[in-house]
Amino acid sequence: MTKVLIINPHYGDEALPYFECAPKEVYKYLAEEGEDVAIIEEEATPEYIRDYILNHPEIEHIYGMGHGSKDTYTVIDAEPFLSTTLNLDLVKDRVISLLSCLTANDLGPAIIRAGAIAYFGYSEEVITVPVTTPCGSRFAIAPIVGDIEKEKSLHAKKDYMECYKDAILKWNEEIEYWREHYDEETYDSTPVTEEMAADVVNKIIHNRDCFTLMLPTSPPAPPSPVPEIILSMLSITALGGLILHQTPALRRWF
Amino acid sequence: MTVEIVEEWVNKLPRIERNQPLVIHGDRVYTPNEILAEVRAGTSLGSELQRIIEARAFTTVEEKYALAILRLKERLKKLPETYKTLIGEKIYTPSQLLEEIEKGTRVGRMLIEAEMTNLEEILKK
Repeated sequence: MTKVLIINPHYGDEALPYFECAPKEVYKYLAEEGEDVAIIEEEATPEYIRDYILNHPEIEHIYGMGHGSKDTYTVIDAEPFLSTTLNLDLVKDRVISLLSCLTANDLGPAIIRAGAIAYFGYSEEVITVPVTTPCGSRFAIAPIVGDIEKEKSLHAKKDYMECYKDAILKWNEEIEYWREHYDEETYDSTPVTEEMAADVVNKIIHNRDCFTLMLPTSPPAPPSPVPEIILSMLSITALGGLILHQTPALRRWF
Repeated sequence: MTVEIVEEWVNKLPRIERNQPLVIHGDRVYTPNEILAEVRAGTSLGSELQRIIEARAFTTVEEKYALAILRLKERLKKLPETYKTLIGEKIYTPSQLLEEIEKGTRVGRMLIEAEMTNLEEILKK
C-alpha cells in the first residue's frame, strides 16, 4: 500500500540536490509517523513513475520535486513527466504538490481541470542557497521550510486552506528568526553575516509569495473559518473554474 | 517630541534592520541607528528625521522601489563571491545578481519585488 508517493529525481543534476532535503525530510517524517509512504529516486524516469502510480491506485497524494516550467514538471534527466498534455490521467482524485518552478501558471490549472483534489506549487522560480552540505544547516533549509510544513499539515489531514496557511506561517516564523538570530547560525561552517541573513529573508519572502494553492470550484472539504492572513490573499474564481490562493505580492503578476 | 519615541521605534525593528538603509530623506538614505544618533545629538537633521518617524511617513511607492534596489545592491556588494544563489536551474554569484538587477531582467525584478515586500513588512512594525 502506498498512500503518499514522493518523487526525488536529483541524480545527475546540478541544482536539484540543493532542494532534496524537502523530499528527504518529508519521507523521513511520514515514515516515522507510520504513513504508507514510498519514495522514488534513482528510478524516477517518466515510465517508471507512471507504471508505479498505475499499479498503486490507492495513492492519495503525490509530492514531486524537480525542474519545472509553466506547463511541465520534469523528473530524472529533466524528462517531462506531467505536462498540460502528458500523464494528466494520473492526477484525478489525488492531491498533487510540486516543489518545482513555475508550474502554477499552466500546469497547476490543467491538473485541477483533470480532476485533482488540490494542487500546491509555485508561480515563479523557486530560490534557495546552494551550500556544500545542502541539508546540513538551518540556513540551507530556510527557503523551503514552508513547503515541508505543508506536507506535514497534509499528513495531519488538515483541509487544504489550512495546509496552505501553515506553510505561510512557517515561512513567516523563519523570516522572524533570521531577522533576530542570524548570528547564532552558520553558512558553510562560517558565521552567518547580517547580509547573508538579509539575503535569505529575501529568498524566503520570494518563495512564500509565489507559493500557490489551487482547488476545484467545489472543494471536497469546506474551508475552515477564514483567518486574517487568508483575507489578504487573492481569490479568483474566473480562471478556468479554479479557486486560487496566493499572497498579495502576486497580484501584480496576474 | 522625545528621543524615547525614536528609541522605541528602533527597538521594535528587527535586529537585522537596524544598520540597513531604511528611511529616505532628501537625497540620502538613513539606517535606523543613524537616525537615532542624529536624534540623540539633537541636530536639525535629527528633528526632521524624528518627524518622519513620528508621522510614520516613511516612503512613497516610488521611494520604496528605489530603496529596495539600493538595499539589494549594497548587500550584494558586501557578500563574498563564494556565496551563491540558486534560482530555478541556474546558480548565481552576488556580482551576477547585481548585473541582473542593473539590467532589469526577470530575475532582478523578482529580487526587487521580494525586497519591496520585505520593506513593507518592516515599516509596518
